[in-house]
Parts: sequence; structure tokens; C-alpha cells
Amino acid sequence: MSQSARVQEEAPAMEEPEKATPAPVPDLELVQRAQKGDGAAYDELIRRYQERVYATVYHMTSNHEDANDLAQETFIKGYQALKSFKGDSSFYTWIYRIAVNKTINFLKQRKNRTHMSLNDIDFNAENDPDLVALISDRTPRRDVGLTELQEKLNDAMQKLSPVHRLVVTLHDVQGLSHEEIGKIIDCNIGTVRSRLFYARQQLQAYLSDYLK
Amino acid sequence: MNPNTENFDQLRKLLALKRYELPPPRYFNEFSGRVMARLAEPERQPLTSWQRLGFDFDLRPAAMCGLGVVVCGLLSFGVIGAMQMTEPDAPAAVPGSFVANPMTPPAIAGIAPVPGSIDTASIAPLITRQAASPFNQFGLAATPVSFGTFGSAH
Repeated sequence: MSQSARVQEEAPAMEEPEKATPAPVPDLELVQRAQKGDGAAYDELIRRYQERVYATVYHMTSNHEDANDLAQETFIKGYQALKSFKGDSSFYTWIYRIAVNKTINFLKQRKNRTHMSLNDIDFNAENDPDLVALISDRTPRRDVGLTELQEKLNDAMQKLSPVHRLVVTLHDVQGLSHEEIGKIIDCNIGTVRSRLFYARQQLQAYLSDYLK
Repeated sequence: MNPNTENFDQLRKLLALKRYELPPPRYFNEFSGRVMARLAEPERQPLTSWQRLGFDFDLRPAAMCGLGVVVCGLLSFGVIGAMQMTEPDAPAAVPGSFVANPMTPPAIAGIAPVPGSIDTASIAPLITRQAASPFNQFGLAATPVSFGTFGSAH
């Protein structure tokens, strides 16, 4: 056996640990490749952030079809504007900003024509200890089911103004920090905090029957 | 403990329910493919307000048709205008033009000529109206003629 053949046989064994945990390609590198026309790189970026972008839009609209359209348009707009991405912020913040602006514009046009098209609740929710406790022990209306609670919650969310709904969605549903939200919506942390406080107060009033 | 904070904790637990609202299974498997397919499509032109109302037709044939109507209209207008501008008060013989001379009955012995004023009155208006014809531009003129049968006169 030649030496090169031996090396080829040995190489996989040496590289095995690296193959098991391949280092993810940084966003910035994928962006640079996508800027040069690499469609596969942009496809990878979409896969990384599609769930979070979709979730944000969905929780803002309470409508799956609208969220689907807006999430797709967000990534299309992102690709078209990719040349203008300078890397001043992360790609994640940048694409989120596009999604948020598109969604708020959409909600302004839609105004009060709210039609909810809610996604099904994952069956794992029944095992969430917080939710189980909330429904069975703490909620005054103990007969309420998860589906009814979901509808009431979305109704209450839709009563908030878009900017307040956005802050609640990003912080309390998606778990983003105040700093990250400030970067996305381009305002300071104090404004984020005050909006969040006001939005929670409003929601608490709307959902008083379901909270102790 | 601040009661507001405690209530917000309950609210935050309730809001956590929204994390369990998930799109249909395998929705995200095809999502990026749909976006990339839309990016590969040729860019669609935004709809005009006419198209939004349902009047979606190709403007080129309509424009050509309109141009044809305008050209025909201008031509007709020009012809009619020319007819009205050159309408003479009375037909005048232009030098060198063809003039039909009234037929003079031949001087045949025993046959008297027909008087000129008998039949010409009946066709005079018709001949006068012909003066408005565009063919008068070419110097043609018609004069009343009288026809008579030989031997009809007394």
C-alpha cells in the first residue's frame, strides 16, 4: 500500500472528533458568501433564524397565514438588502429589525380587522408544571382548558398596541433581554422597560379572570 | 414582595403558553425552500390600480387602435375642412379647363331648335350643389345643358 493511501485511510480516524462536532460557520461568513451570490449560504442563514422570525411575527399577528407570508417576505427583503448589510450589528438583530418593521406596517394597514388563525398547542404544554399549576390550582376558573386559555390570551394580546405587543412578545414569550430589544426596535432600555411595564399592566387587567 | 411583581410572574407563566403554539409539523422543513424558490422567480411588477380593479388587458393593441382612430379622424377632418373652404359661390370656368358646351341642335332644314329655358330649370340645383365637391379643386366645371328631341318644337 502506498504511503498516500495509508494517509487517506488514517485521516478519517484522526478527524473523527471534529466531524462529530463541526464548528458552525459564523453568521458573518455566511453573510459575506451570500453577498457574493452564494444561495446555499443564505439558505443556511434562513434555517438558523426562521423559527424565531416566524414566532415573533406569529405572536404579533395571531394568524398563521399572515405570519407565513410576513416571515417569507422578511427573508426575501433581507436577501435583496444584503448588500447594505455592513456588519454594524449582528445578522440576527438586522433580520429581526426587518421582520418587526414589516409586521408593524402590516398591522397598521390591517388596523382592527383581526382574524385569528391560531396554531395548535403542542401536547408538551400539558406537562409544563407552571401551566398545570396555573390552570388547576391558581386560576379561579378551574374548568378552563388550554385551548380556551390560548384564545383568551391571544385576544388580550391583540388589544395591546403593536409596539407594546412587540415588547411583550420579544421579552416574555421569546426571552430576549432588554438590551437586545432596544437594539432591534432602536430605542433605549428605559423605553423598553416602561413599555413592558405598561403592556403587562394592560394584559393583567384583560386577563384578571384567569389570574389570581 | 411587591404584589405587582407577583402578578406579573403569574402573567409571565401564562404568556409562556404561547411558546407551545407551533405551526404544522414539517412546516420549517420546507420554509427555506419556499423562500429560495421565490427569490429565484423573476421579479413581479406591482399591480396597477386598473389591474387591481380587474381590468387587466394589454395596452399595446388598445394604443394602436386609438392611434388608428385618431389618424382617420384627422384625415376626415381635413377633407371636410377642405370641402368647406373651397366652396365657390358660382362655378366659374377656369381657363384651360374642360367645359361641356350645351348641345346645339343641328341646323337641319325643317326642324326647329329646342328653346333653352324649357328643361334646364329642373336640373340646375343639382349642378350648383356639385360645386362643393372636392373634385372642383381640379378645375372641372359643369354647365347646364339642354336636351331636346329634334322636331319637338313648334
